[in-house]
Amino acid sequence: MSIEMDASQAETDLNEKIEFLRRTIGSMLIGQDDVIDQVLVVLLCRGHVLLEGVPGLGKTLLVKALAACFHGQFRRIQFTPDLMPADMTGHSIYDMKEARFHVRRGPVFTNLLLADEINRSPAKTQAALLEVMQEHQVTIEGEAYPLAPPFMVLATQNPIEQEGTYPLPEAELDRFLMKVFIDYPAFDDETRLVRQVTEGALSMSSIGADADGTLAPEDILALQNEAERVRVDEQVLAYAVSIVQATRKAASILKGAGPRASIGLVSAAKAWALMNGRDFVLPDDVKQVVLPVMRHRILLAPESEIDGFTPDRVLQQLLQSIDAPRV
Amino acid sequence: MARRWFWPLWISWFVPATVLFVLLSLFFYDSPWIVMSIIWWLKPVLERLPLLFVSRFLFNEGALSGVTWRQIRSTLLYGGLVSLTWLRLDPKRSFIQPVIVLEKQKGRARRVRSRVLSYNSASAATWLTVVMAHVEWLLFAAGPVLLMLLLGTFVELEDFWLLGVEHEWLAHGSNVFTLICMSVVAPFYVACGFSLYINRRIELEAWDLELLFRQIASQRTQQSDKPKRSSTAALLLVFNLTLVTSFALYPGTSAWADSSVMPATPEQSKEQVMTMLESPPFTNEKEVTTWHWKDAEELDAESGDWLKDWFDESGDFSWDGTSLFQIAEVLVWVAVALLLIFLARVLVKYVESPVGAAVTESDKPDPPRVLMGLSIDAESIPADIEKAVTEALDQGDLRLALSLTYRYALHRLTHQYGVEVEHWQTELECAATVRGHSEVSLDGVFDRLTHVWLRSAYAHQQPSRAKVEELLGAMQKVLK
Repeated sequence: MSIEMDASQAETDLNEKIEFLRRTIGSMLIGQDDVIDQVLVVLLCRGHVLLEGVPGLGKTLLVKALAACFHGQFRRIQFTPDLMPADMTGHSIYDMKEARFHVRRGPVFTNLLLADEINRSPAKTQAALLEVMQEHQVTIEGEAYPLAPPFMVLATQNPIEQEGTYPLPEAELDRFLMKVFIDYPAFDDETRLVRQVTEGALSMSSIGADADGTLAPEDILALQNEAERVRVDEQVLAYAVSIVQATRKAASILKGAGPRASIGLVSAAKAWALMNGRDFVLPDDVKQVVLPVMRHRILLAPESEIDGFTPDRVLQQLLQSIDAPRV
Repeated sequence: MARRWFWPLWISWFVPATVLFVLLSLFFYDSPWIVMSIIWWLKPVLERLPLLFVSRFLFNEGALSGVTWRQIRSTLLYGGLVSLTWLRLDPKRSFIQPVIVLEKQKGRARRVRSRVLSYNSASAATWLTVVMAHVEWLLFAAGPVLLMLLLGTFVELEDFWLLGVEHEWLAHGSNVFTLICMSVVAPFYVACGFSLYINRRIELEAWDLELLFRQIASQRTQQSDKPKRSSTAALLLVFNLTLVTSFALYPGTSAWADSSVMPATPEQSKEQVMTMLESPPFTNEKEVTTWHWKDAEELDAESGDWLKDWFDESGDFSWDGTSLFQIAEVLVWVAVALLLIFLARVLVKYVESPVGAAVTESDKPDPPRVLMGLSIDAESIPADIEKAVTEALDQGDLRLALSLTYRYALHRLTHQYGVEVEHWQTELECAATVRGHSEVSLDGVFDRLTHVWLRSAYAHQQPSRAKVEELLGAMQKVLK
């Protein structure tokens, strides 16, 4: 569907960096190009992503590959029912020798945080991430400690196992810019993956070794700044907001998306435009990111759920009821 | 519950119903159908005593111990008007009855309570009514069918004989049988509806009721150590004795009583039956040595010309009740068939359509008049597009010139080439639709035009005059 747009000379460098990220992660995570694009959109928007997929589809690999691309620091927290908030954020310890408290920083002090199986912990522990995700800082003993940018949370959850899980509260879900589904790879992709792994060409230990052209965290910040500068026409902005507002009026939706969805939709559309070499947003960019940005922010009416509708299907129908922007 | 307390429940339904039936039959002796209509309509009231009994039995209370006449009267009459009017045809009747009869709810409180209870039990209660209505009807049909099977083909019965069209006494007999059928089903219907109700109450109120039931269960377990009378076994015994006696008394079966005539083994019995079947009147062999047509009468008999019979009957149509009833029956069945076909069509369309609304070919919209805020109907497009674009370019309004060119292209594509574009599609989606339209060969011109238009519309980057002129010329060339 895409029509090639002319990229200005000044944007060439940025496009190369984005292409490097795409290519590098794509060479490790085979057959998940859409997922990679969506995760990069979230990275460019300074957002966080919720990855949903069955085990074994490369969620950890994706995060490690992303961290390796820009010399970023990567930490992983395995969420369990007995995980405490202080286990993530850190705490202060009394030093007997020096007779004073020392702050011990938790694993959230990193660039990329993999919150594995986030729904295995109770709401109290999940809520500890709210401040970290929203304000990019941690408060320990009343003192705020900012996180070094870029910071991004990549949380995972398994859609199959519901036993012993704690569904994420809506406030927490709203903090995630996108909810991305990771599906099984296609036949050809899986064949290529198996060949590469069995021949030793692809292994977890090899990640990070390919340092050629690796970006610095400052490059990621520059990309994020550039994404913010992408222009949005008033009509496109109104189109994005009208989509979000339509979710509040639809009979098939019990609870529509909030203003954070509008912000996320436009931000993600800008990042998507940048990734496609444009410095302005098209209505198609908005459409492209509607599903991952909004699927976790709406609550379907019981009748829709009984009828077997999914949030994606309802949103697709909704898009077909909204006029394209008027220019 | 219905099996355990069948007799008290049955009697509590049957006795009042019989009294009512006798009175009504005396009053409406000439119109027996009115009697059963009234009994059928009064079912909700007749089901109240069994309901009261089953609720008392369940909570380990005696049927009438401590119950005053006033309470019984209240049970029968409370909310009777509601039950017999707008709630009469409620398919959840047995489930909702306890709310009126036992909880004594009325008005808004009853509606709210019913709604809360019905939340996830309404479907089961509806199906219960449907199933029980069918069981009752099957019982009603089974009696005459059994009788006809026993009579065999020696007695020819008139059509609708059971309805007593010809004989009133037969209609009254049929009414009695119907009453018995209703009385057999009623305890099960009431008990099932009540059990649904009580299960829903347990869901809502959980532990209090469950603890009470456990206590009652414990008491009953202790009582069950005492020897119990088995009414079912006694009933079976009486039935068997009656059956044996009747065979013994029936003259035709006397030979069977003679053990010397009876076959000793099943093989002998089988041989005897086969011999009988191969001899007249079961088998009549006739030797024919020439070809000949089958008899017309034989063909008629085989084909069973029901349509001819029907028209023959219609020939001597008389305006009495029988003929009218036959016509009404045909009309009703035709209406039911049409309704089923209509419902099936609606259902198929509903299932196929993702939004649940039926979309037919005739619902397909005309080409849109406005796309992306641009008017593309014939009136809004200048007759001489080239001249209009040139004028806009001369005035330095490049955006207007490009807009005219883009609108012209969209108008020609949708109205003349039949490209189907929806109002919700964006420019890129329109371009993709045009590319997918095999009848139009645009050599990428529309894509280039879209590209330039997008930059103008959303990036506010205007093209050069030459570019607009070149695009218009190219579009005119490919769309000529």
